[in-house]
Amino acid sequence: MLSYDFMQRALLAALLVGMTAPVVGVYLVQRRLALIGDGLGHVALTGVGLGVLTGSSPVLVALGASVLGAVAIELVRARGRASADIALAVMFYGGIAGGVVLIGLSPEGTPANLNAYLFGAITTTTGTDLWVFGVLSLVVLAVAVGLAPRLFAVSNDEEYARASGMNVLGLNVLLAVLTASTVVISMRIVGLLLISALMILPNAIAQVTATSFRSSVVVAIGVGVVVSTGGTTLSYYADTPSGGTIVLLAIAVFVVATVAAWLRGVVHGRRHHDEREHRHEHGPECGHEAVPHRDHVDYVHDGHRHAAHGAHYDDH
Amino acid sequence: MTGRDLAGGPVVELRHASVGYGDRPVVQDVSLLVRRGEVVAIVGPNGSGKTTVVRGVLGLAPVTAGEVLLFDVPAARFKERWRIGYVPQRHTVVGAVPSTVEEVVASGRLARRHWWAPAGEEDRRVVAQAIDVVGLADRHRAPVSTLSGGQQRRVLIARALASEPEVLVMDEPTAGVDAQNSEALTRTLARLVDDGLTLVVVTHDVAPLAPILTRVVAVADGRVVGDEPADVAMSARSALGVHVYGHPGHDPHHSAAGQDGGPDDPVRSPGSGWLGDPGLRGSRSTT
Repeated sequence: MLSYDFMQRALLAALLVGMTAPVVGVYLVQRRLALIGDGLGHVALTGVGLGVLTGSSPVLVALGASVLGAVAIELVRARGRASADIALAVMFYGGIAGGVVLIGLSPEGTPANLNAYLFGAITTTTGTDLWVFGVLSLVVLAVAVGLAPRLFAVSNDEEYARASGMNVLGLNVLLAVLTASTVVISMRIVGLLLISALMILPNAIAQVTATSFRSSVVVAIGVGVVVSTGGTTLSYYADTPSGGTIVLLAIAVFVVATVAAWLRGVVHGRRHHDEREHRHEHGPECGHEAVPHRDHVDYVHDGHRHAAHGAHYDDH
Repeated sequence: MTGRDLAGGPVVELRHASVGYGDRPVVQDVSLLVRRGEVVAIVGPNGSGKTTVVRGVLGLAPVTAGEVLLFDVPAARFKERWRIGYVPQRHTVVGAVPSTVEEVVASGRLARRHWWAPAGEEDRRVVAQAIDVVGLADRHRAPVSTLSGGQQRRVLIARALASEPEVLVMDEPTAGVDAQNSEALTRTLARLVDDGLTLVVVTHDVAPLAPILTRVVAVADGRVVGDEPADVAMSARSALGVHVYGHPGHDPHHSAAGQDGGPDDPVRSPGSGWLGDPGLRGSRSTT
């Protein structure tokens, strides 16, 4: 497999995607903006279409289109009107529609070509693409890691960030541009319709076990690299579109991790919080939601219900 | 540090300020001067605009008329934001991604750091100290989602302290916190005030803060309707109760007439006094 040049390029591109997508995606997850990546993928398709039609590099034109789209999205969101939702929807539809029409107009615009852009294909990454992806990944990783404390602060509590004098709009635009760049890095291997899956799923998997933001990001990068290179390899042997294969693999890992965590909870059983771990006594005003349960009151704690039983809490 | 008896310099000042959104000012013509070392409670029923006053001060709501000065500098030109610590009214600090107490508190330190500067030894020391002050030192690596509501509130206070502010602006720090935790919070705040911190606290219930308060400012219908030294405000002579609620002074026997302030309304025992009287709080939200 590795003797083929296209496969070497595909795996390298997959490695870059696997590293960068989760690092940017974690902030989208934190802000509950998971679908913005999807929208930017739609907008990027118009850039791809433009590139295909004019015969220039689709990757670079897509980069321009999605960065412009990202800035526009943040500016619309910053206005905070109810109409922002509609405005974003219009941009996203427009992106896909424009892309499909432009690709259709071009002589090279075959359905197979369009499919490759939408769902990823291992044979399409060129040497030039790799250089672009490599430089973009370096920049995205440097910014996302270097400004991690600020991106975390603004994603965690935007209002507090504003009150403490941070440039919230600037950071939001920056995050959108990072997202747009990641969309472009992912477009050959994962495809524009499935891009946000690789930003979101590794983080969802990491959250199953992580207890801190830092460990969550580290685990997500590991998962991202494994599923993107693993999925690319699988797609070579199974002769399937790489994007779809990668995403299905990621979903499989997510399901296994979730079930494993659930099983572990069942085995470790009904008193995972004894008095050492659980320094907090539930009461009417402890802040945990109280749920009447037959003859006693349960308190919702970290996703499950606690009922006092002697010195510990049972899960109900 | 300067003690509270050295009070004097202006910290927060509003001059005939109106604060609001669009063409609807929520508070109008508010003038208020908070000096260094003061502990000021801003009280009033829900919907009175007390939260909007501090949002205007913090730059979270637009000031549509008049002026806001921070440390004698017009708010728009004030760059030293770390001098002001903000504790928002929140019941939780849990984001969608797990984060530890330390990580959340450290974000309060960023106001002191340049964009690309990594956290230095001093930053880490101050963050650890802020966590220690609120009594969460043994939980500093804990995910905030595993903390109780009261503990999460303390995380937000530590985050504000991490910038080593000169004034702390708190929105309803005791709402939904039981009596025991309120007392612990007041003891913590008392220590900080002794070290020279100025406090501005938006609250509907001054009782827990009584030991440290120096002044009570009452807001009703978007205007300042009373401003009294704390000892007067909490005595039977106080005029604030009349202004705000239409009946005088502290009335521990006034019953809660079974009304509910809405989903954000903290669980409270009935008849806890005029400033906390649930029966007289409005139904509009302040946020």
